[in-house]
Amino acid sequence: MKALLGCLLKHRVLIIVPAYNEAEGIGSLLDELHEHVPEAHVVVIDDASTDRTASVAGEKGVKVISLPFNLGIGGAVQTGFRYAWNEGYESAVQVDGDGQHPPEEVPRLLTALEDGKVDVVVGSRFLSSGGHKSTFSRRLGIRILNSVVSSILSQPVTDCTSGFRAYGRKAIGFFATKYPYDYPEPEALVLLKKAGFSAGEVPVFMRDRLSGKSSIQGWKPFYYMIKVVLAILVDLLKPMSRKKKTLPAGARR
Amino acid sequence: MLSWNIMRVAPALAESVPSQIPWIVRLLIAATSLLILVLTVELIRREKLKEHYALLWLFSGAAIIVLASFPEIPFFLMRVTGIFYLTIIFFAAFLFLLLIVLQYSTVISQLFDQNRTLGQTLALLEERLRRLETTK
Repeated sequence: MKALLGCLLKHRVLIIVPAYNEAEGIGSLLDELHEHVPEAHVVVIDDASTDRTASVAGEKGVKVISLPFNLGIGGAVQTGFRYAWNEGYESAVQVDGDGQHPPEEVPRLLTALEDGKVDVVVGSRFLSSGGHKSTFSRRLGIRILNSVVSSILSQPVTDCTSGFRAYGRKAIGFFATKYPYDYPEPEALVLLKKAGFSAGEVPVFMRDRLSGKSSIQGWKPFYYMIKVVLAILVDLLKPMSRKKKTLPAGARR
Repeated sequence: MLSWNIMRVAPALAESVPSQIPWIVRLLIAATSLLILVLTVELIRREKLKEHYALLWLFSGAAIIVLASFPEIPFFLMRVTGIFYLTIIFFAAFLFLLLIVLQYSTVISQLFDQNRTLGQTLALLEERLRRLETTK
């Protein structure tokens, strides 16, 4: 029975859309997702939005998981991983609710995940030409972070802050139990490496956000960079057991 | 032997060490730490404080009582370090407070993690409940 179920569930893809106050743009994003990746299931993680994000998403007929209080991007995305793991999805793609990650690029990530035999594929905006590249101070911060993460992973990383990623089932299980809290993307790559998983990059276009405001503006890129570098250094000090923390019962099937 | 050596190294300091601490000072210190101990025990008794988090409070109270009742210990520390009597007592109290605050930070971190998992689980269960209700 379980084997049969496994066969049926194979190749199922879940698109995880973390969203905080994105009522304006989430509708068109979900339409685009349906148009470009019709076979995938979509779950919107509403991070305790104060606007109509959840109801707008619900009207589009996708799954909506509403968090009782704001957990930040890390906690929201991890909710998606836990859902994907519980429901037996083979792979998952993170597409941010602000519309920066164009749905037409999702198939490219998924193809790379299957062909590349890696556990995680990161969509990099700096490997492609054109598209949205962010402000100067941000790019500088990202470059410094890239070099830190590249040296730890001992492989070139060109966009370690990109949240536009595809995950295989093993990586989903890993992140369901352990995912960094805020500004999680660069740290997540380091955790992957420490746990013995593999990652790769593919070039993608990114857009300007459709709605909402970035949480990282003005002087914040520098604060962000220092905080993330510190978090990564602390991660390196931590002992890493491959022993899996068990997920709390209840939300399991 | 040890204290004699130190006295020779710092004779001026050794002379400045009084042989007696006014009893009122010792009484004040002992009373303060007794108050901490009694309050802690009373809070545990009324189940307003978990024993686990009270241990450090009990240790602090006990340690300062010991320092107040056996002046030989602070006298010895005074000779070794050249720190004044009251400063030694305050330093001991400060160290314990530092430990208590550090313990609180670990407790907060733990609660933070548990809170996050709890919120996620609640949201996942809510979604599942909605799904089960609509398929019925």
